[in-house]
Amino acid sequence: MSDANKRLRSLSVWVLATLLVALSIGACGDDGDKGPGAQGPGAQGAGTKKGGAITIALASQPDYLDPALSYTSDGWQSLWEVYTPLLVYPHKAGAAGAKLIPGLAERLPEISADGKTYELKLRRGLKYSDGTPVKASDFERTIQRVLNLESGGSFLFSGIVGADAYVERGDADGNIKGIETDDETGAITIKLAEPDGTFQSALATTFAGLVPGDTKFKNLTKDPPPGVGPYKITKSVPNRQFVLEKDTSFSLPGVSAGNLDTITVKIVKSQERQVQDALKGKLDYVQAPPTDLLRELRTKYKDLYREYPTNSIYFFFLNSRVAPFDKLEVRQAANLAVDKSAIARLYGGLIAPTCNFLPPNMVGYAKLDPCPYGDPGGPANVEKAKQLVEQAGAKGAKVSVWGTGDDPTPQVVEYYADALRKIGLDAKPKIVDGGVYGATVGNQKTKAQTGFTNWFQDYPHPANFMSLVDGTTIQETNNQNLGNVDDKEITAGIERLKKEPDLGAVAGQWAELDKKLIERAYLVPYGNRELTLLFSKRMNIEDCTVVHALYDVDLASLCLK
Amino acid sequence: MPGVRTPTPRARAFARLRRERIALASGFVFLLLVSACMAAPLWAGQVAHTTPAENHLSDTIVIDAKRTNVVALDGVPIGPTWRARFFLGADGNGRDTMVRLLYGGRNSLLIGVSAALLTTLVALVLGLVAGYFRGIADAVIARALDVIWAFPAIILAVALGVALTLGGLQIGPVTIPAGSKLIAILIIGAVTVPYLARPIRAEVLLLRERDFVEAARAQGAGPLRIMRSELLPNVVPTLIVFFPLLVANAILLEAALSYLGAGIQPPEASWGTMISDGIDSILSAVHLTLVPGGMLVATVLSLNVFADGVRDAVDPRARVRLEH
Repeated sequence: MSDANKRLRSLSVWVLATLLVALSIGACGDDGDKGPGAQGPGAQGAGTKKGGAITIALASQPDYLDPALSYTSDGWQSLWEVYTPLLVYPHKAGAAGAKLIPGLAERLPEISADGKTYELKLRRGLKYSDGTPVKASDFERTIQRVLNLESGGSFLFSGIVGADAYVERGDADGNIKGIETDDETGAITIKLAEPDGTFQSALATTFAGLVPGDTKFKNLTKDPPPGVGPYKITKSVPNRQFVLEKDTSFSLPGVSAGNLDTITVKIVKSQERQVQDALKGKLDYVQAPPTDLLRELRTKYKDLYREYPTNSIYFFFLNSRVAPFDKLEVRQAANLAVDKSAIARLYGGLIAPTCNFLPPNMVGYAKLDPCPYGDPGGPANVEKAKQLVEQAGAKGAKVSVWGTGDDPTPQVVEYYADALRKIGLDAKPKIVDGGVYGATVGNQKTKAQTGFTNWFQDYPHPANFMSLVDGTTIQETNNQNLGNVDDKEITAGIERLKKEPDLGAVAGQWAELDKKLIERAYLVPYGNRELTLLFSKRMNIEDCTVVHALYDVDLASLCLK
Repeated sequence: MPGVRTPTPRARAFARLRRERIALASGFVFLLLVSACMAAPLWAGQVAHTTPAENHLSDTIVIDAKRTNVVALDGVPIGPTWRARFFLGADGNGRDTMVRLLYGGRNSLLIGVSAALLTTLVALVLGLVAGYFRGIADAVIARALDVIWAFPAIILAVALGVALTLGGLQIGPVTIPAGSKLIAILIIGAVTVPYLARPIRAEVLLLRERDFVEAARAQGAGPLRIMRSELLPNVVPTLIVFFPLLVANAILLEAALSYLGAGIQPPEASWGTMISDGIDSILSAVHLTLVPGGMLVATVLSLNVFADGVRDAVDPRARVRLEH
């Protein structure tokens, strides 16, 4: 063979080899296991079909699979089906799903005239998914775990008499003075230090989902405790998958029993891959498909694709304890630097630009018009922002902009960092996995200056959103008040208005607080999100998919054709 | 016979290389690609009028008298315009793909070449010491190389990259900040050392028994002098043969590290990060993956073919081969 032929043969070998390497790099990613395939009966007519198994995907591991700790919508969506609290929201869409009903309690609490004492009674004969009887004293254990583990939800129960003392003592098994229980009668009495118009809502969160009295004081994500709910977690392999199996012994009025036998939740980091798998039938449900696929999904797969509004706020936190955002001018500059309509494109148009912090459908929302930083749908005011940065002496200040790896957050963070660079800050993105993001930026030691965050309502009350800017909720770890907002006037206003039983009467005052928050530039709100869903062909979307105002898609409502 | 000049080994090698037309053409292509990447600031400043990290999400451009969004309202970026601005289109953040491609190439080439140089230096020292001294030195070095060799390079590199990229690296008093390119250079340089050190060691083991080395010892030359004056010049052809291959491997490894988030950090670009960013848009904006992927293939391929030619020219009996 001539030298030229040898060279060509070598060339083709190298072409093949290098192409293979490049393609393998391009295809590299988290390769989730193959789906289990359909189980149970095949597709039949309309109607709610019982039984069967589905596989759904999340792009990252939920923060925790422990009801005392989880504070993300991904975590709550599953945990809501496993851990029923004393009070619950019905598994219904719209306003019907936002009205509290008794869960493990026989009835809604009797509240004393001064608003400080709540009396409830546990239903009789309840058992956890492992057969252990449910006792009234389990409620105190449940709340102890939330406080002892420094959960992000601690602030919801810190108003209970003795809660602060319990935390200060550091004795996990110690008593919380304001919780009295009687296992014989099932009576549960809760005493608050001050009246709190949102406390019933706190009792309905998954934080208050009862767990057995011997549940350990540690993160039980790898081995979640038993609960009372339509489903139980039978397998948990963090960052790989967890499995919800129907608890056939579960029965509670107002709480769906669940249609499917098994729901496997896989962690598939590539959302592109999730969509491909859903269209091939390897996955049955995908939440928030990548924005660049929306055009195709809206046209070619419109039968399998749904969009729905949420009560949410997407914003950049500005840590007012750490330079340069400890200066008002720099925070104002950050607000002026951001073009919210530009960010909307990164979400495929599924973000509605906003000036407010409270979402439009929330009581207490009053549109800020004019917005102090310009029309939210208009361009950024880079020149004015630059001037403010120079005025504050912050030009060239190094800034780390934090974000998760979940699409499209990295792109949003890169845009925001670029916007900050344009106004004179030396900003660089810092992306971390979604599963550890909250714990990382919520740890005061990180000193996270600014970054992405969002909030979906836990319950239909403005205090739920305002808790993120309430000075009394700042924690050393699992902090939800990422901006460390500690404005005396705003905090006092929140604490006062929270106690008001008639929300409608004080809606205007909540709106005033919202206005002050924006004027003092404690954060950069940029939009309210519409969420998107993609289903596989075997899912019965029309007859049995409930999108709950608080918990997104109700997994118990899903069924096969 | 007086008046007859015998060509030197170097001259013979050049003559053989001149006959390797495809290798030379590949080398030229590689130089062209490198030149294009080096000219990135020129393209960015004078032609595209933007920077690699600058977002143009809300911008519009005029194409054929029609005003078009750089990024559509539903988030789909513009494709190649074949004009000064957005020559190869834009990415999801409205950044100019051509500008990022060229700047990304600078990063990829910088890390690739630097890592290859580091590998060469370390492998040379280890190979010389192990091969010349043998005994305990050889045993320790060879076993250490075996341990690194046992791990697939990419897995080892990614593991190190993930650990060091976010937290940085502290070596005694020296701190390398998180996200620094030096971390990628050190990781890639370190994991590929065995690929060169082993062949050098093998060659030195043979060379140390040769007459000229014995003669140098007999004249009283110490180990350092023998390694520098007798062994090193004879090992250089091996280095010449391996170096382009090391650069090619290092560029590929860097792309893989950056693709997996353990290499170049945003907002800087590299071909690996561009492929990673583009994968999620592969259906709506295929240019975002195809362009950096194509550039990577062209660069690595041209370098490998050139390296093949160099090997055949310098070492026609193919005594030395890159071990995999």
